[in-house]
Amino acid sequence: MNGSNQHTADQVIQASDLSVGYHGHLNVLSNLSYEWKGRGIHLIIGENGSGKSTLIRTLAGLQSPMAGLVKWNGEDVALISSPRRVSNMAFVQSIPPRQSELTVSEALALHEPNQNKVDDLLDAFNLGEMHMKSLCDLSDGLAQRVMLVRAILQDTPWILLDEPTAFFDVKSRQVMWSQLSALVAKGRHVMVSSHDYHLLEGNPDLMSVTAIGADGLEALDPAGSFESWNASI
Amino acid sequence: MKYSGIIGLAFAAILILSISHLLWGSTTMDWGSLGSWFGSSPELAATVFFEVRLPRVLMAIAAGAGLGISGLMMQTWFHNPLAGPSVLGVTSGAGMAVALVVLTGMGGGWLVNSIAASVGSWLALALVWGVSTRFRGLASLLIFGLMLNYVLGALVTVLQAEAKENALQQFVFWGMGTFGQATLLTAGVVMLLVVIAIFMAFSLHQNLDKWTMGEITARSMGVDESRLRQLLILLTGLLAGSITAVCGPVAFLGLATPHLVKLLTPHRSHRRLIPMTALIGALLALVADWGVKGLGVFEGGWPLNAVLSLLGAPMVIWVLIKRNFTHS
Repeated sequence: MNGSNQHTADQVIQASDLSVGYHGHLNVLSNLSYEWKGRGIHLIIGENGSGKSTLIRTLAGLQSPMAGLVKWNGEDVALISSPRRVSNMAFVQSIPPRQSELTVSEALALHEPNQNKVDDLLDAFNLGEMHMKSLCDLSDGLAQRVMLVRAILQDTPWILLDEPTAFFDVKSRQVMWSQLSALVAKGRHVMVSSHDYHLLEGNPDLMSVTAIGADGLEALDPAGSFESWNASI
Repeated sequence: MKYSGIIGLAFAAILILSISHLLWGSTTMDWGSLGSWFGSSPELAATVFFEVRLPRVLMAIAAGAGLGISGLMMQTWFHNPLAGPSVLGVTSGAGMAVALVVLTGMGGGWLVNSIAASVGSWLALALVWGVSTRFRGLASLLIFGLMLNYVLGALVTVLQAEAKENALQQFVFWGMGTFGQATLLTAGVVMLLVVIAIFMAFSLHQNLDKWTMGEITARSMGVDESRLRQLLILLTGLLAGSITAVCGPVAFLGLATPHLVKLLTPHRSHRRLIPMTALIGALLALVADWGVKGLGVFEGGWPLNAVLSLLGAPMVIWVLIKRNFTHS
């Protein structure tokens, strides 16, 4: 567990002259310089195929940049040791693990040995009955909720989520956004790429909105309407 | 069934089967006549016990445990329930190398065959792991293993067509697999390697659990995948190579054991799976060796791989049906 001061201090993720993509392909996004700072929800929006996933993975330090740097609180991510990364950044992928046979309990025990603490969070996500089920036997939506619980139990100042709600039903989406707000209230920093941004309209926890457009990244007004955000992508 | 219950039962069953194998064979020893048997010709008794039965039992335990762990590691790494040393072409690699030395008349002795088998399995393993990074889909890798099996099988057939009769016979015998060619030394060495590999696998249990959740998530949880891959290649190569070297190609234990374990228990964390797989693998090998000894009834007995395939194939099918396999 991390000290609570780490959670309350303002954290910053910086992209400097960053190009993201895959070897053997054209860069998905080039020469980005940008900063995401402060506790709250940072939303990234963009059309399908605009490079949201590649960008958010690179910012999470899970994929090497093609050029430029990603910095966490001024430090080059490439130089941060693995244990420190794990205590700084939790990540939820857009696709739940369909091959993992781990039971829900086993998967979550990897972060939190205290079963009571796990149970409380599972109940908050309506997963109370799922302990002994294998992840691969859950529906995509349920498995994704477990992965969100897992990321929260990792107990990091940042949680990055790539399209976390793609498999959620309406109720699960609302549960997730309210849980993220609860995390923000505890001083966490959340970055999320999502198509469900209409659900964030008017959310007081929304710290920044970043659009991926034809000319790179564009900062939008977090207090704006979702139609106004739409116009920028 | 509870974890401790399975471990306890497996231990007891291994102990009972081991004792039965030590007592019964082509020359019978039983508790009652043990003293007199040793008494009447102590040298023969000691020879049979220390040079035939004990090495064979140790080898069966080591091979079963080792191949089970090797299969489990491959199934976890490749996220694929059908992975295993014989499916992915590792056993064929050994077969090809042994065919090369035996059928061309270069080899013949068990030492040369053993070295060839080790080298062959390592090469095939390196090839499979090397190309695995290029395949995104799981099916492609299995198809690669299947094709590798075909190509190596075809090359072996060509060598067989050209080979002399006694060399051919020797190769066919090697291909049947056996625990019976082990000596106290070779069985001991393989047992030591297997124990080391099991501890190595166990030390990786958390990383293996994380790995099941996919590459990106595992990385975000601190798994260094290139290091994990290197350790798993070393581990599975050590196991498959050394076991094939002493026993010849051994079918099904690697593939089937993890499935049987998963049928017996709801546990899926590697902390639990690794000890259970080692024990159940050893148990299966000892059971199969009774088939090889002709169940003590038939004179000649059956080849190990025939017994393992007849035992293993229905078992895998049964497990797949039982687990209602909907995800692959």
